Amino acid sequence: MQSVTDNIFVVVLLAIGGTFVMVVSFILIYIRNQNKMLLQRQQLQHSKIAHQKDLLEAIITSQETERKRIGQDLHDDVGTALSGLRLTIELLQSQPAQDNDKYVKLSKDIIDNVIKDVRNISHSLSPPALTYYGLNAALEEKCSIINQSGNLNIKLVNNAQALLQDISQPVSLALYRVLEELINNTIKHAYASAVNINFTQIDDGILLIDYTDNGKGVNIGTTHKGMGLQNIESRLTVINATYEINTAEGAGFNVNIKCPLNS
Amino acid sequence: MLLVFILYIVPCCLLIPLVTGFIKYKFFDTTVKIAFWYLVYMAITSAINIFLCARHINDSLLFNITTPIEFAFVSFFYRDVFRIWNRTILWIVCIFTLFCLIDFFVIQAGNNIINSYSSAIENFIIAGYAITYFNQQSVIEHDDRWSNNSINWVNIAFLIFCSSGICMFVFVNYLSKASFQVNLIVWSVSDTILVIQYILFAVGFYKCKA
Repeated sequence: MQSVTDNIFVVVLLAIGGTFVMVVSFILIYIRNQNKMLLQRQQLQHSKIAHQKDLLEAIITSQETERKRIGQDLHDDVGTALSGLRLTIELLQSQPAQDNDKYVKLSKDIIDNVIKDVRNISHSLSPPALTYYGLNAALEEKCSIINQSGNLNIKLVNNAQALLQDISQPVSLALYRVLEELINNTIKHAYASAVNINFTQIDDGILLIDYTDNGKGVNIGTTHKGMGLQNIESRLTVINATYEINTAEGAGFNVNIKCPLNS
Repeated sequence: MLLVFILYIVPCCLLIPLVTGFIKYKFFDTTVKIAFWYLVYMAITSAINIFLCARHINDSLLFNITTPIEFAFVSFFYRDVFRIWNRTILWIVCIFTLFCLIDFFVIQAGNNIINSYSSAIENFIIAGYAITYFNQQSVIEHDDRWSNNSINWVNIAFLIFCSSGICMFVFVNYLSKASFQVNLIVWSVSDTILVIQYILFAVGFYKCKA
């Protein structure tokens, strides 16, 4: 009996020790995994916050740039023209009456120029075609102006006519600004000769915008995300749209934008 | 030396979580309070046990009485932790108490027999509670570190002691037939794990903040 109980004593000790080691190991692995997951979540949260901060900064900077541009336009064009008009009127007072017609014509020309400048500024702030005729018409107008320059040929294909008719004003304005930014980027950086913009309806109520240029392209991995692209992203985020960029050095630039229009 | 460890040092170690708990009691929520009062109950039974041993009175009856009460404390602790299965846990307590009575009067009847079956089952169920808690926590996204949650510490205290104790209680009646030295060694190993449990309780209480 003594030897049997002694054996049991060894078995009990081994069982207690073994279970203890296994349980402690399980707990340590569990704790390590929990802490690792927490760390990953915190890193993800930090990167999300940093990204949101970048987007907000891009919005503020672009607003400031736009204000500066409007201010400059008003100062350089409208301000200068109105100063010229003032001088012309002063000259008119000191000149003999027979020269009046010449100065009146000059004044009218200056006023016409001011009207044109103000219209241009107001159009750039809010394109009237977008308000009255919709996204497609506003883009066609924009494209035809650029095509007239002869340096870049933009082809716009609309296969989502029905979908674009019901598009809300904030969404159409956001998409217009995004495409305007993309065209500006193509003009400024891509040295492209042609741009294709296709509107297609994919799933129910989802608009796909396929924008492609035949420019020099960029290496997304090495290129820093510029203000323009951040602006695009922030505008698309607001309207719940997603985008995917396909580009490489020497292979042109393509972006696919998926925008849900039902909501 | 081992006898001193088992009879005096281990029960004294119970003061570590009790003192920590007493200091931090104002920060305790209901769940941690149940764990604290469980330890108070453990302290009282340890004191009675020491008294019985000092007078060479058989303490197996004490084990039989304390087991269902001890189990009820732990079950109510987990009932408060889980917030669900309230009725199920109440049923488990009732059925286990009934089983303890059957074990005491029928299955393991006798003055010198420790309730090894009910103790082993008690440890088995508590280990099950602890693993269920782990499972419940693993699907929740926590904003705080694992170590900052006091319930986590109390839970691992129960898991370590109860899972290691299952084997101990299964063979406890066989061990009583072994030599005194053998019993001393086995009980000192079990009590060392009990001290670890007390320390983990103390850490859990210490982690309680306003």
